[in-house]
Amino acid sequence: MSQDLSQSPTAMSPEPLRPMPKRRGFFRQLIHDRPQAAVGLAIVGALALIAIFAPLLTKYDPYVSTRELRQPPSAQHWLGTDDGGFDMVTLLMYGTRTSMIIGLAASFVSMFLGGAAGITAGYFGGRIDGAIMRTADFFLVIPEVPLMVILAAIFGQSLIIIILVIGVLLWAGTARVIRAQVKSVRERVYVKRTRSLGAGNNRIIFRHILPQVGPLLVANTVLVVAVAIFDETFISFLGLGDPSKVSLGKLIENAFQAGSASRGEWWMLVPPGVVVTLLILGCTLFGQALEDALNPRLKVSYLSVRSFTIRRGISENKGEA
Amino acid sequence: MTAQSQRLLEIQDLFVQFPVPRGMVGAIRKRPRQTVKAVDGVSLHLDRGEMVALVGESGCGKTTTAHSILRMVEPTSGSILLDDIDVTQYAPRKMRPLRRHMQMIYQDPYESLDPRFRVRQTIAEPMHIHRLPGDRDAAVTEALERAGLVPTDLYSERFPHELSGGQRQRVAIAASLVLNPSLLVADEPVSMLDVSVRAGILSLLDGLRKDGLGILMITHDLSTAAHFADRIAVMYLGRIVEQGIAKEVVRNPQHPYTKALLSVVPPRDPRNRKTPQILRGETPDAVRIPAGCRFHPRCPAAQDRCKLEDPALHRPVSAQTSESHQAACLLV
Amino acid sequence: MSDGSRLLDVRDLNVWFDLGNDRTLHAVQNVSFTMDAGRRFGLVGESGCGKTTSILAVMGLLPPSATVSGQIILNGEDIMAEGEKTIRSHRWNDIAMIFQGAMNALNPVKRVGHQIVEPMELHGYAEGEAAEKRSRELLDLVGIPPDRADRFPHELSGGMRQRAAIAMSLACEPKILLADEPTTALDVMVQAQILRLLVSLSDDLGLALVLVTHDLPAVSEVCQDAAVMYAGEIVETGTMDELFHDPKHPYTRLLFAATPDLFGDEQVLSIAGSPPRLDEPLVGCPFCPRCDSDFARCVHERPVLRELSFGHLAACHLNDIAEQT
Repeated sequence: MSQDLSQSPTAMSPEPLRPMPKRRGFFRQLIHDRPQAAVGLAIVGALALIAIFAPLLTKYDPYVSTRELRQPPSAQHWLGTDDGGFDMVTLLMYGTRTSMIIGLAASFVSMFLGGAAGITAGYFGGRIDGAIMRTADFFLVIPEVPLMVILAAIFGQSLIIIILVIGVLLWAGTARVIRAQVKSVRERVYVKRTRSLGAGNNRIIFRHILPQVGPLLVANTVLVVAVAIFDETFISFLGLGDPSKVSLGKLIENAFQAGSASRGEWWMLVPPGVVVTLLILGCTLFGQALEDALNPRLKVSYLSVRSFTIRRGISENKGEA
Repeated sequence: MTAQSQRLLEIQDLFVQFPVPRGMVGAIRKRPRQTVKAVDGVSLHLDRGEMVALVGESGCGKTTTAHSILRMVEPTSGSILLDDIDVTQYAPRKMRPLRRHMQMIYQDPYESLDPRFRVRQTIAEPMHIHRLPGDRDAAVTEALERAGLVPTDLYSERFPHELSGGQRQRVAIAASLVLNPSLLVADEPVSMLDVSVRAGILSLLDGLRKDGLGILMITHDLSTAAHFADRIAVMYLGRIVEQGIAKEVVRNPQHPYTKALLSVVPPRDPRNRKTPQILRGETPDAVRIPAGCRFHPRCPAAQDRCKLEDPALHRPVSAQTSESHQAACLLV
Repeated sequence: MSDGSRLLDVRDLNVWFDLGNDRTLHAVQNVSFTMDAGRRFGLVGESGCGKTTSILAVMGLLPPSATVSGQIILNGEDIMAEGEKTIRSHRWNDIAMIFQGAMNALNPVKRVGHQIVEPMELHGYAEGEAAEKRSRELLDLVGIPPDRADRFPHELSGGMRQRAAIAMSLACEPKILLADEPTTALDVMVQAQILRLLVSLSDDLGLALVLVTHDLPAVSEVCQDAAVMYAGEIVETGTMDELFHDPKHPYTRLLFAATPDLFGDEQVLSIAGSPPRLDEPLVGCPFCPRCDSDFARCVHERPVLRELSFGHLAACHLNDIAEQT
């Protein structure tokens, strides 16, 4: 009576595949779960657009004085002018541009250094791991700000140096996070399987581990951007930034130097501070939401106060029929 | 590997030992160094077209034995001959060409495939690793067909998360077939799959066996071993305690451990309720292997001499058993 | 064996999970079963059939995304009526559960003996000296030597840890024990030990045991009756003898046929295809696409679970034909 299903043709070809339901794209899900990601992204996006299109948005040149010194906000100068006669709004736009470029470039440096270090340490383990991690610990422990000051003072004040200095300071945190993730991916069965097939280290690292670790690296880098922008602002504020470039930190420093606070010339001091705060806030909001979503170790299983729902009336309906 | 003899795999006197790390405290206190004797003298052979099941409980050494064949674990001593080539003589770096001839299927189908690789990429990867020339797409299609994943174009573009457990395991099998190995080591190939799917995968392995592959199956499930394997080797604490033709070992067990194991397997038929012979306690640590016969502390039939002599595998003296049936017990 | 007293009556249990995007998964569909003192009942099925969700519903341990309907009558009172609040008071005192993989879920930084005391204190059953004493009694009952009581979980073997999990579940003297895959991941010999322990607990203490598992032979050995679940619903209920020797649903028959027997020579079968999606409405019998005996009616009419003889229920149109002839 019972057929031998294992021999029938349908048995050898296993279950037909059903189309999976359309899953929400990653970003839509992210914004749905963590709306602060949208807020952060919006802020950064808006500032980036302003920074990119600065020359189109303002008629003033940040390097040419209008000769109207210390003017309060007016119809021609929405945020007034500074002590050198430069239009504040223009300065802000170009300053944002510089700050963002430096922040992004520095965090790329950090991403490459930290990513490479983390992957090397996590994959090879042993003494290499120990050496890299002790170096990272060193960078994590030393106080950033004094070190920044010293390095900037020693190596000079060009843009490139600033970028490198910040990048070198920040790689350690990334390395740590990436190393942990690499260690766990390395132990997964498909990696072991590929090794037992005879795959070399290069193939495993670049084709199997890096794709798993990549998203987390990106998320971490977004957070690093926030820190990099802060660091740059601080360096510039101390007067160690590149003097030929306008940056938000430089604007704040300039405002202090010009004594704007005691003169009540708030339009020189407050706007750059607000903009840099918004920029860092936006990056942090977006970066943290992204890291939350991507770092498996940060996942918390539901600990909810709410309970399941009861549906009544079903059994009553059955009785009626 | 030119002339194809019947004998595919010959393991002789394999020992695999791991030192137990003492730690700083242990070193300071000069605690004696201990070793885990995971495999303590195993000899086993496998022919082409044969499926041998290596059966035992956790800690018996079956997985370590299988892993040492593929050099995923370094043997301490002994020889492993694959088509008369001693695998243990090769440095790990030189193993790559040999790896083409032996492949492993893993227990967890949900973890053994890279979630970012499509099916065709997973199956083609071994060919990239070994720089095999030829039409890779055709080889992938052929491997999918051999593994029963037809129509092949339905499966080749899929990601693992779109497949069921049974399908994933078939993909893993296809990926191992693409290099045309002679030996397949299957580590608990169906234990994580649903019952209704298991026979399909095991039949697939059986089909490959008929094609001439030699299959070493690691399993704790005696019923599966009895149905699908040609021979069974029962392991306990690093040694083979009984081996022989599968149906014979199951119907006429000679070693007390085998008898106990068989007695505790619940029967399907509720009318066949039997009295299970449940052994006391649990398998001891592989660090402290009992003296004499390693099974004697738990053996219901143990006698005084079992504490002193360590039995080797031999044909039972009195029982009516076939030539290949051996047991390591002083009392048979 | 059993003194026949009805302890638990689950009626028309339904569980839906909200998947977001306006999609719902109907994970448990009209599941009903009863438990008497001293009886051992198996809930059998493969992954995704709803067996674990069903007993989680009985324990009131479903996540906020779940909606439940039905009645859970414990000692004459419907504890599901008010939801989690009512169930909570009965949890562990009347019904206890051994979770899947419980042996790996013990708190690694607390000693085993203390972890058995914990539920007693939490549920107000006992505390202090009395709780410690009972903890030792329980450890003895499940076969853990007293010297292991002061150990940490990682110092015990898998079998010992599972026994500890069983002892924890018995802490407040429940009358019903729900065991979810208690022997998966354990060796055959240890499995036998644990199953024997569960049988003796049920016999000696009058404990009603629900054994949730995919392992049919284990259920054959331990339970008197069982329900086979498929796609969220019960497709057949009966005694183990009836299920094996006189199955009234093709899935039951095929599931046994897919389970190898140690001595049998019959070919082991597999069932092609896979279970239907539970997030889409289903037409006809859920097993129809994989069934070897389906016919026209099966495609568009869903069979209802009917009693065919005393205590033997099945949801299959074939039985209607059999009755008519």
